[in-house]
Amino acid sequence: MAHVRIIDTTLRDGQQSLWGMQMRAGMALPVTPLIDRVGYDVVDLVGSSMMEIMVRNFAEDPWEGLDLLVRSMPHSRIRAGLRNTGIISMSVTPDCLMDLWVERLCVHGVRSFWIYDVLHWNIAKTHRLAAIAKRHDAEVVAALMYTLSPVHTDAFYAAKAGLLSDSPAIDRLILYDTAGVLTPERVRTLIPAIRQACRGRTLEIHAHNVIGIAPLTYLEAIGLGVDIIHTCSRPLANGASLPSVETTLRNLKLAGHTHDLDAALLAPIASHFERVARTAGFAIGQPNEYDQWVFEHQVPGGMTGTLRNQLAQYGMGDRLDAVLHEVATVRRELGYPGMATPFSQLVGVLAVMNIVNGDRYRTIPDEVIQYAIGHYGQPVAPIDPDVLDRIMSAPRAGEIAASPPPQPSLEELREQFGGVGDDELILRYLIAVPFIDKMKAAGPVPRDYPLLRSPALEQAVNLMSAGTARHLELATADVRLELRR
Amino acid sequence: MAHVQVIDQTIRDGNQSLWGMRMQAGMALPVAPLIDRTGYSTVDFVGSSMFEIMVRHAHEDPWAGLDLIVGAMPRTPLRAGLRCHGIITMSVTPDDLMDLWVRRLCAHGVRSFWIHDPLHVNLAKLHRLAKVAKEADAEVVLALMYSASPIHTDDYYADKASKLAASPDVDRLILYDMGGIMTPERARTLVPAVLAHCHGKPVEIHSHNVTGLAPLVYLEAVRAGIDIVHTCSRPLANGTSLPSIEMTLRNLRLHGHTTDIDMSLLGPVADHFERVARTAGFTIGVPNEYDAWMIEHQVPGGMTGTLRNQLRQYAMEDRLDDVLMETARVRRDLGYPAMATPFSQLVGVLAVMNVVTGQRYASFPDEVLQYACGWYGEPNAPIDPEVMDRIDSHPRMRELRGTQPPNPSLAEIRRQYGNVSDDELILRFLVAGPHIDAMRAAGPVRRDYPVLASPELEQVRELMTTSTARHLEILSEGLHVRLDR
Repeated sequence: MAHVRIIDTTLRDGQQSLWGMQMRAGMALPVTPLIDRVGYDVVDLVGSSMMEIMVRNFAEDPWEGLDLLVRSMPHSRIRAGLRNTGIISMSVTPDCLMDLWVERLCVHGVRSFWIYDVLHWNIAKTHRLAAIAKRHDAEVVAALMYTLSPVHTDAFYAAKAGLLSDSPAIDRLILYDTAGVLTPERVRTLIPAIRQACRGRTLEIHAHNVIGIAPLTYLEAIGLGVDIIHTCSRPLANGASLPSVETTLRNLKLAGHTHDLDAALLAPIASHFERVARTAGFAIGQPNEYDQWVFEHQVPGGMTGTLRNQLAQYGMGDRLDAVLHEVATVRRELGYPGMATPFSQLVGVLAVMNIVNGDRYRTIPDEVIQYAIGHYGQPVAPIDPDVLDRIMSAPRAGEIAASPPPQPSLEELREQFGGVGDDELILRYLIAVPFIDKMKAAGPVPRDYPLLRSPALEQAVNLMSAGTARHLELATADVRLELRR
Repeated sequence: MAHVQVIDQTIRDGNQSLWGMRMQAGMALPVAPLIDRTGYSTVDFVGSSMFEIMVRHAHEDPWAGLDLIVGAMPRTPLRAGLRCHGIITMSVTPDDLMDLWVRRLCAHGVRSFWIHDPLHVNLAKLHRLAKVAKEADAEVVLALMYSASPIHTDDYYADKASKLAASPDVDRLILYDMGGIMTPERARTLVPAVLAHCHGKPVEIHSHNVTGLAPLVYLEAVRAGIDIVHTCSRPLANGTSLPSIEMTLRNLRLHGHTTDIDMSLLGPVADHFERVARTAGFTIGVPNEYDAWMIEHQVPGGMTGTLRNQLRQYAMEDRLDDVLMETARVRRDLGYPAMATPFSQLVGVLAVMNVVTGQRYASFPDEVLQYACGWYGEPNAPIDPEVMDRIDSHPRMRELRGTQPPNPSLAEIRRQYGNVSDDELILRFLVAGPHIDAMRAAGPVRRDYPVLASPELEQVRELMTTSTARHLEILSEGLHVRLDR
């Protein structure tokens, strides 16, 4: 029987999976002091797209938001996650800016990092970033990104575990299942293989509960010696997200395991986020029925909605099944990249285009060309020769091959972006200046998020979004609302 | 790869698990012709508690409702289910009346029966009822009621399968997991054990998706040689109900299995039931997160709500977990009866009493004393000696000891209920006279159920339920609603 440590990822992967990363600092701040006292091993907080979305969509200063959140959780080790080659989805960021990003996160109070590379290719980059984090005494966790393919065998992961753990800067490894396709059966062979190769490093497991099996996978993994698991508060758990901490604790107890969590604090946290979700119109996590198909296409839960929206733009909303089939085919042809950023997006975009055009690989996004050329590292398996021909004969291929991702020095970047502080430099590299100006004009980050309490008001909001009439009037004892269009 | 038959449980067990059996004939009739053409091998529809609830709560003549549904489904055999010793919850029904119930159901067009005994000991009763059904050329399916306990081993079920299937009047067996506690691992050994002893007769599987494992259990069972599964239309599937037909078909197809289901008819059927649920305020089925606690206490999903309501009467709602724990102990004390009617109710009532009074077995419902006297057959395992002592010393035992349930002949029963038709006799046996009078006064069974189609109307209905204001007024183009209280 194990003593299990739990990592809370409500504020990072829960909201990334279910709320599209739209959680503002003020939505979490009222309960972060509670989260801080629950007894989590680590609180996962920063995702790389956070900066971009907070500035662009909400004119909210993400550094200020981060400071508020970090200060409200003085007892917790705060984690940030990064892809080793980039901060923004799909693009390659200069190394010196990646280093600066890690350093600035450390300065702002981040004490734990998980670093991934979907191809498990750029081990040196992972180790370089790890060394920077280590200089600030932060913990470093290197990720094994789980995916199903003929090349992603137990031996593949064992070899990668050996390479990743071959640096004193790496403290732990994490087995990371974005699509929720890691089964208890597979864990039985995969974890012992990794454990043998990981030089005694501690292992974490992170599995999305897309088809309902993640809780079983966790129990199996714990039985095999992995005793750090990732969960979310109930409204931000399940479906595209991870198992809920509430049910996980019960399952642990019944299996005879122990933990350090104060379960009494979980309910107020959950009810707060549920109210935020209802007010903001965000999804509340709901388990899915078991669906064998996920094993074929491995589209991460949150991405199915994106694909559906893209199809809707072409008036082809009914072709989702065809696109999911195409996703599986494209992924195989591209050499089985793992279905996580940036490859899940690339494979998804290609699949949608192939279906919409009715002619496969007629349109090829620049990033696919970059991938084929090797800008992200070497593909795990060779790209299908015919597909490689089509990619390399795309009009942009020559130009892209001639211009590998620039690696300017920090001095050059500083020159380019003017005399600004490092935090602002990172923002300016990621986001166009007008957005940043608008953010500054918007004033300080709100400390809370006003929640509609009255059920009548809540229903009025529903009524207004559902109603099709041009004139709608609502009067209650204390509210009078009128809508005309 | 198997060719799998599918039995539709939407209007019986889906309705029972999620809608508390409140589905009126008019709620199903608009889509009954579609269900009839879907390609199900059987449609389950009738149970005696449905009869009771239709008369009491819907003032609807269940015989007339049955005739309408039978008339709307000329192609697909309709099924009825019965417990071998009773048609009223918790009590024992005279044999002649059980036989009459089967005969009348056959006369009204029921073509298939599943018959169960949670203890699997009343073989004579089971085979007698099978014979009555067979005389009317109906199909007979006897149930193996799945339960997890030290005595409910694979050998136990293999032995029961052999005994149940021995009669020539029995066409099939069904492995029936009402608590949703079967795991894929258990199915891997249990299904072959049952198949090896069922005299070559087909076996069906029926597993509630309480913990999300039922779809995996189905796949495992089909791999092991069972080729008849039970499902529900999506809004009436999952949670305490069965897996959805929609997802089951996909899972079967991806494992290379085939079915006769016309998928194009599933969408309109699901849409209809979803509209009915929204209009009537009934639950729409959603999957649950895997919860090992459900497997531990084995309380069927629908019953947890009943236990909570009972505790609320004593203002002890916070003791639900204690009651669930106590059900597991009471069940063991009583010799591990399977958690199906009437034993799930008896165990539940005892557990609530034990917790509420703070004293275990301070009182006993009559039915528990009758169980100890063997009215339901011999317990599967001996009752705990200390508990048996308490039962023995109960004053009522002076009257009950050594007795068997009254078993009047049909002639005697007819004398008691006066000169009425057989159908009316059965109704009077199930429900008190005044309820039947109220049902008659309500007029003929409605052929449909008006569903609110406008999103505005739907929102208004919700607004009215949730709003606490004294005055509420809604004005839109085609609608003016005013509520004062």
